[in-house]
This record gives sequence, structure tokens and C-alpha cells, in this order.
Amino acid sequence: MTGKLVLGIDAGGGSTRAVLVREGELISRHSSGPINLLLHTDASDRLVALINETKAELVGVGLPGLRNALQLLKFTHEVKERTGATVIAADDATIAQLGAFAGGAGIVVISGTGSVGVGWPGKGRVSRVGGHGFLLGDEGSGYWIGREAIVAALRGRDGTGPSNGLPEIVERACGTRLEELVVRVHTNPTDRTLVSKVTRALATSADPTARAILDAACDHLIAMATALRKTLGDLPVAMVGGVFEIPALAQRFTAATGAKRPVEAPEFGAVRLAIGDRNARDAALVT
Amino acid sequence: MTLSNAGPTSARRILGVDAGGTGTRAVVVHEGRIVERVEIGPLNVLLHSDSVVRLVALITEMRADAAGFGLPGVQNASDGQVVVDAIRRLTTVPVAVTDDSEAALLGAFDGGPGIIVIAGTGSIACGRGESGQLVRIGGHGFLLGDDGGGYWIGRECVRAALRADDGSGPATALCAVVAEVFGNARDAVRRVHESPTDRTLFTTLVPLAAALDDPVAKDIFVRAAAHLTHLATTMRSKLGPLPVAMVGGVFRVESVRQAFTDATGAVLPIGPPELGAVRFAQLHLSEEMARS
Repeated sequence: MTGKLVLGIDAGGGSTRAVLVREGELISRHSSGPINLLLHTDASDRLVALINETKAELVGVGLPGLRNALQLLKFTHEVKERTGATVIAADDATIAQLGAFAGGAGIVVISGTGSVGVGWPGKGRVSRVGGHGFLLGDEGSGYWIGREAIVAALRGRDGTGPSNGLPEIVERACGTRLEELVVRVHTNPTDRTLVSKVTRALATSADPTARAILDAACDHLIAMATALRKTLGDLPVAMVGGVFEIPALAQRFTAATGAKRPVEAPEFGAVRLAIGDRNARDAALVT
Repeated sequence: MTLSNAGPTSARRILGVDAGGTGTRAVVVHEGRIVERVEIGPLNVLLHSDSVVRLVALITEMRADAAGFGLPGVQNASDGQVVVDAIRRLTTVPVAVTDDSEAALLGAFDGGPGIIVIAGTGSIACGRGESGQLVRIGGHGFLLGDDGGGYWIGRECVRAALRADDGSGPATALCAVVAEVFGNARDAVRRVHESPTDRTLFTTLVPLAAALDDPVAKDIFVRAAAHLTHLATTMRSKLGPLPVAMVGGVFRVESVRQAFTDATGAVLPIGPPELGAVRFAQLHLSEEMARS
């Protein structure tokens, strides 16, 4: 440990959470909107503002949308230059894993807006499965669940899929007709709030097609844990993210994997990243 | 295709436009004959803010007296009216707007009953029953449907390459094709998400994957053909045993065309979608043109 002011930041999908820590003691908590390097051009400005506000000397940050080592280097260099703080960054999944097992070995399956599985066997590099973003993957994520529901509703209404109760559920959740919803989803593809509304409606629905989509989502998440165990051995599993707040889904996932809740939240994982709890090179972005 | 049906319209230069995600084709018909053909780039009223200006420029350039437009993203009569109103603010030339699938249907069956399955960037089926009713299914866009379309096929190719990268799927020649276009599968993830509406990133892969003798690529085309066949059979269950025609770049893939034809007995369209757009203008503008 160090006597320095350490800021741990989780700039995850739906919001940004940060904790300021000195010598293992929590000093303050901060929260703001999501910061995604891929989607927000002011990402570094906002992080710089947060760091300056807290006067942190050492910063660990987990960022979504981080795709390669060059981008990571450019980003940490810029933030260092502008704040004078030492900055260590990794992708958001890595800090979730660090927090979930308090720096120890284990597998986390994360399902919020997106989804990904990350595991660390106790030495060496972390392994990753899934992810790939809302256009190519993110199976079992919040966006995926909402989109699958809209697709099932459209197929049901077209007659290309079985007739089901989803058209009404989806239209009620969004307050718009399916035809209009299709237009709005495509007008601004990166705005995923509309699809999230459907996901929330599904979470509390007893409709059999809705339940089947939640089960399918869960099975994708279980498959991530299984794939990582195949590679890394029989490690403990933790679940992180808003999708696991759906009770039936969390229950099904726990029954299949023996998953536990994380020991610490991802922002504390970011503190561990900053203080070098694990070799920064090991913990850094995996591409 | 009979083009000289409507008396007042045959003496005019009628522009017909079939707009699409990868290209836009236009013809001018005058006295029952095609007198001009032109191709311009992708045009989508939903995605491109300058599309109305470009359509008006085309009217002027082609010296058209009337125009019919088949536009992707036009879902219903009120969407069509919005585009018509926007065009009318810029020109006095009478225009009629429908979606690209009705234009294709009108072209394929010369206005008569039938079912068209379209697989270009997206996929959709449109049919007209014996009693004249129009039915559309599919075509819900690249985020929510379009199964079996060019975007869908390209996306499946990238997904297969990502599975190979993860070790959860076989690494085949398809991975090399994806790498050729994107650098590697990981770069594909970044580039695709940097510009979600640039659908050519995926459609570029279709002819390249089609040229491969590769089991993973073959399976993707088999699934594409099955999705497109399913559109046709669903339409027949709604409208009866009508003839089916196919249009769009995906059907240039031999295996897809063959599987679809075997399953549906598909016939060749009588005319292309841009001629169907001319037909739409003739059907909807004859009164207006007679007055002008």
C-alpha cells in the first residue's frame, strides 16, 4: 500500500463510478455518466476533470471501448500530461475481475449493456471470451435481450416466427408502434436506451416467449463461464452487471455455475489496478 | 413489360428510381421505351440526410416530367408522404414515392399478383394477392432483421472469424477473407462500431466469401437461402400459391439462387425495380400529369 491518494474509476456502460482511497480507507465516492472511448469524443476531458477534482496522485481506470494497445497508450499518456497523476488503464472487464476476487484468481461474467467473460488463473495474462460489441456479439447482454424481444415481436407479427405476446409487451414498453420502433432504432443505432426499455419490461414479464429469451440470454452467459473454465481450470465464477439483477436469470446462472456476487465493485478493482496489486502488464488490455 | 398503358403519361419522360443500400439505379421511360439508364451511389432516406436533395437533382438532370421512387426505409403511406412533401418544396415535377419492395414487385409482375423476395443489403418480401391486397414481411433493418441479406451474410462472416479467433469455431479460409478486408477480426470489431451505419463494411465480404470453397462460408449461404425461402413460403401461406420472383445482389451468389429456386420454383422478374418505380408513377400520377 501507499500513502498516496488513489482514485479507482469504472467508466462502465451505463454510468461512471469512482472511489477515492488512501491507505485502504475510503475517502469519497463519485458518479457521473458513462465514458466510452469508442462513443464519446470528450472521454479524456471528462476523466481529466474527475482526476483534478479529487486531486488523486495515482489513478486506475477501467474503460469500455478500449480496443488496442496503441489507443491505450495514447489515452494514458494524454491524461498523465494533463493531470500530473500516474494513470494505469485497462478495459472495464479487467477491473471487474480484479474487484470480484479482491485481486485473486477467478472468472467474471459481465452482462450490462454489453457482455463479456474474463478470467485470471492466478498468474500470467487474463483470458477473455465474448464481447465484440452490440453489432457483432454481446450475446446475453441487456441490449441483446431487448433486441431479441423486438425481433421475436416482429417475426410473430409477420408470421415468419411463432405468434407470441411480445408485440404488445414491446409496444407498451416503448410507447410506440412496432413499425415506428424499427425506424427509431435505426435512426440512431448507438443510442441504446430504447432497446433497454424493452429489456426492463421483459425482466418482469411472465410471458413464455419473454422467459425463453431470458433463458437463452442466460445460457449464452453460462457458456462464457464454461468456455473460460475449459481454458483456465475450475476457477470460481462471479457475476457482474445489471442483467444479473433479473432474479430468474441470476438464479439460473448460479445453479449452472455456482456463481457468487463479487467481493468488491469494479471501481475498487480499478484501485487494485492502480496500486499494482497485479502486475500492470498482466492486468492490462488483452487484445 | 407494357409501358405505354396510360395515355397521358406515355408522351412524358418518366423517371423511375430504385434506391438501395449499396447502389441506386434509375431509368427514364419515354413513349414506352427506356431512353436513359443511370447508376448513383447508396441512398437511404433514413440514414442519409441529403437524399431528398439528391433525388431532386436526379429529376433535373434527367429532365423528367414525372418521377416514381422506390426507397428503402419508407414503411408506409405517411412515410412516403413526408418524402413527397419534402421533394415538392424543391420541384414542381409530380412525384410518387413507395418503398423499394413495392417497386420491385411492380417491376417483377408488371403490376399483377405475385411475390417478390428481395435480398440486397437487407431482405424483405412483398406480395400482391389476386384481390389486389399488398403484404410486406421482413425488411426490419440491419439491427432488427434483414436475415439472409448482404449485411447479414457479411456480419455472419465476421462473427465466424471472431469465433475462430476465440477458439470457439474452426479457423478456415473465411478468416483470411475477413482479414483481407479488415486487417484482423479484432480490427473488424472496432471499425464496425466506429461507423455502425456504414453497411458496405459487411456487404463487401459477400462476393469474396461466395468465391470460397469453404465449409463455414457455405453454411452461411445455406442459412441465408433458408431465411429467404422462409420469406417466400410465409408469403404463400398468407396470399396463396402465387408465383415468386427474386431480385437483389445476394441472388447473384449461385448457391443461394439455386437453393431458393429449387425450394420455391422462382421465376425471373419481368422487369427490374427501377421500371417498377416508373410503373408506380404511372399508376399514381396519371391524373396529376393529365392536369399539368
